[in-house]
Amino acid sequence: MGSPAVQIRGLRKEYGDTVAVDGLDLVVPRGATYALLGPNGSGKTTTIRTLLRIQEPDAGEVRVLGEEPGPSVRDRIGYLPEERGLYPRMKVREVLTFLAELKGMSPRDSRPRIDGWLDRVDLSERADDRVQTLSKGMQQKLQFVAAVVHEPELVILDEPFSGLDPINQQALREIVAEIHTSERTILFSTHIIEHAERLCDHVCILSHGRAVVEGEVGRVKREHGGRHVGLTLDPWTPESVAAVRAAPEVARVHQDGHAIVLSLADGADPRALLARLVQGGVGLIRFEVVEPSLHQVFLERVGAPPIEEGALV
Amino acid sequence: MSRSRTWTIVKREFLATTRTKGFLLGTLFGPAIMAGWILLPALFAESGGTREVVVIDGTRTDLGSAVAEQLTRDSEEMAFAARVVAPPPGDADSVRAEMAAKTAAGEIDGYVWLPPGLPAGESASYEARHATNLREVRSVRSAIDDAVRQARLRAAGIDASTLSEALRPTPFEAREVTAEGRGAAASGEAMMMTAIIAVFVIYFIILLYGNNVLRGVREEKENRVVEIVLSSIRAEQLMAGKVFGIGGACLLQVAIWVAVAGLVAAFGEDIVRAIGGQPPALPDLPLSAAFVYVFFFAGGFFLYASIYAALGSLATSGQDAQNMQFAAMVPLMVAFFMAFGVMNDPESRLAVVASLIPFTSLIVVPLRAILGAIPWSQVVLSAVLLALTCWGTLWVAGRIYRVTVLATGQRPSVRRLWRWVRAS
Repeated sequence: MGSPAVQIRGLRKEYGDTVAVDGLDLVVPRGATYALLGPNGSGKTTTIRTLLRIQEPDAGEVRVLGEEPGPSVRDRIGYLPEERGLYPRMKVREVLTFLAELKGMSPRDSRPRIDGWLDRVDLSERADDRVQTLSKGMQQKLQFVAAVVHEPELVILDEPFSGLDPINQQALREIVAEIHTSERTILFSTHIIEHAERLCDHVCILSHGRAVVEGEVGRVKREHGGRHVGLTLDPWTPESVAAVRAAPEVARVHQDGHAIVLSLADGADPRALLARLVQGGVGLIRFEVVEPSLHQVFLERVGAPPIEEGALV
Repeated sequence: MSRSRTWTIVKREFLATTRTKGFLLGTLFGPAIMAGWILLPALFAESGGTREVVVIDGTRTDLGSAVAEQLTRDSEEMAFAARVVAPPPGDADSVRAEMAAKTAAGEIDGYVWLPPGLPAGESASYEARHATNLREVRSVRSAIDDAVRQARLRAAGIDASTLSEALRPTPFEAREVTAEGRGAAASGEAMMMTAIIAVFVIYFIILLYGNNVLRGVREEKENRVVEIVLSSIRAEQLMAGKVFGIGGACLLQVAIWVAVAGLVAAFGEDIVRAIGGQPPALPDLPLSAAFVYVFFFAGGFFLYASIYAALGSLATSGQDAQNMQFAAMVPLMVAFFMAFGVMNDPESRLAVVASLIPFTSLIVVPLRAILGAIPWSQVVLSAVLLALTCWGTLWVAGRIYRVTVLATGQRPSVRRLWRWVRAS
């Protein structure tokens, strides 16, 4: 158990003239829930595909569960790809049996587990239906089952929440949390910060194929998130907001309705800022030094949010 | 826990192919054609029964009797019972009307009208319930022809029996000789027919199942299932599993056809005789030809199927796939048309060269083996070349498959593709 679940050093992958991954280094500890966070085109899917040897890297070293990615280690990994699809004319149980067999499980061994999972995701009654008769959401749940039915040590989920309605998103989050408590490693990619914030204990923020920030979430926030102050104005007036923005202690203002989060300038003292605002007649009902969110880390390090959803606390 | 992953793919592809209605229909199609070839002529021969006809002789000569005699003679074509009616002068029309009424009522099957001017060239006629039955009409016409010809010969003072003896066709038969010995009479023609069928089967089956492989790869690529499969096995394994799984289904179908053909060869003659028909000549195929056929058929299938798989992985759209399909068809079509040249002279230089090129040998070598016109040294050399090419093609196709099956967007140029394949 000494080796990390995933270790990548200097990974590089090009497609023609485009560099998809550019000297990436990262370490996913065993038992972690690890998020690869980044905008579309930042290299998340390419990184995952090289872990599974679906694609060969141009350079760099990759080790998964202490081994070179290869046939022996593939059985210990479960994978939910971003672009999902199943054999449409196969029956639900049949396709799961087939995919479990590709992971080395005999149909006899996989049968009870498949039935258990189908029950868990409310698809028991559709077990003998053809995949093409299921809704998109049901097919997605089926693919998720295919990724975990052989109880892999490492579960890789590429954008697992895309296309799911809020109820199924919540159900999936619960299952992911459950897998996490069974001390298995989960590596998932997402471009939605909220999902990473809620689920992961480790994160790697990717931009243009490079890791801008990587490590345990608390440490990342401390080291790379800067210092922040949360404010609520009362009364909220444009003059008050202008006064906040003009304060020399403030580097950036993030505003979400009446809630404001300030990034402090280097060396600025929050107490000096509080005194300045009170003296300036700005009405405050909340002033607190807050831990930065991943979103703020992202803004600090990458400069633009991946998408708007889940922006600001 | 460890099972062969390629075998899992083989199994899935085999079941996905054999569980379709198309496969079932295709499997029944071969035996149906064979049964039709053997049994239908016999069944038709049986179905007619004896035709009751009346010959109305308006010539007032013995032509009517001669026609009736010709009709009732033992014939393989059809059995007739005929009687002659000589109508009173000037009253032929009423007799013809009466016979027409009897024909319509089903009392007789028809009547032959021999007009007074028949010997001079006036047209005879046959009006019957089955006047569209070609064999029946042919028999009546032949009986009238023979009777009139003999009457003309007699009128010219020529002895008809002497003439017919002089014009009697010389018996001839083509008999195939193989290492196993002499074949049955008419085995040469039957052998040629078998060779043509064998060529057609290879051509169409490879075309049909090759397209199946291409479509399967394209569908996997389009509905993105390929990525989840590739997280468990290598692309080369997936491609090989697909080719061998669909190939297995294809071989099963052909094996069923061959088994039915074997049963037909063993029992067909007895069955046809039992229902009173004349069995067609069946070829005496040496067993070695069957082995050569199966080997080259299987080798050829894997050769072309791997090309189809690689092309399927390259296709970026339905239109693109159709163009690809055509690209793979070209060498197969060349082999197919070459086969007809080889049939005319199976030991020509063309035949030898086509036997050594793996893309054409899959059709030409089995063809020459069936015709008994290829030395073993050439068979062995062709087999080795085919096996090596098969291996090489599977290798290259596997790499093309690996680097292109996840690619989307524009198809890579040949140069770029080659760079990828070498780098992979």
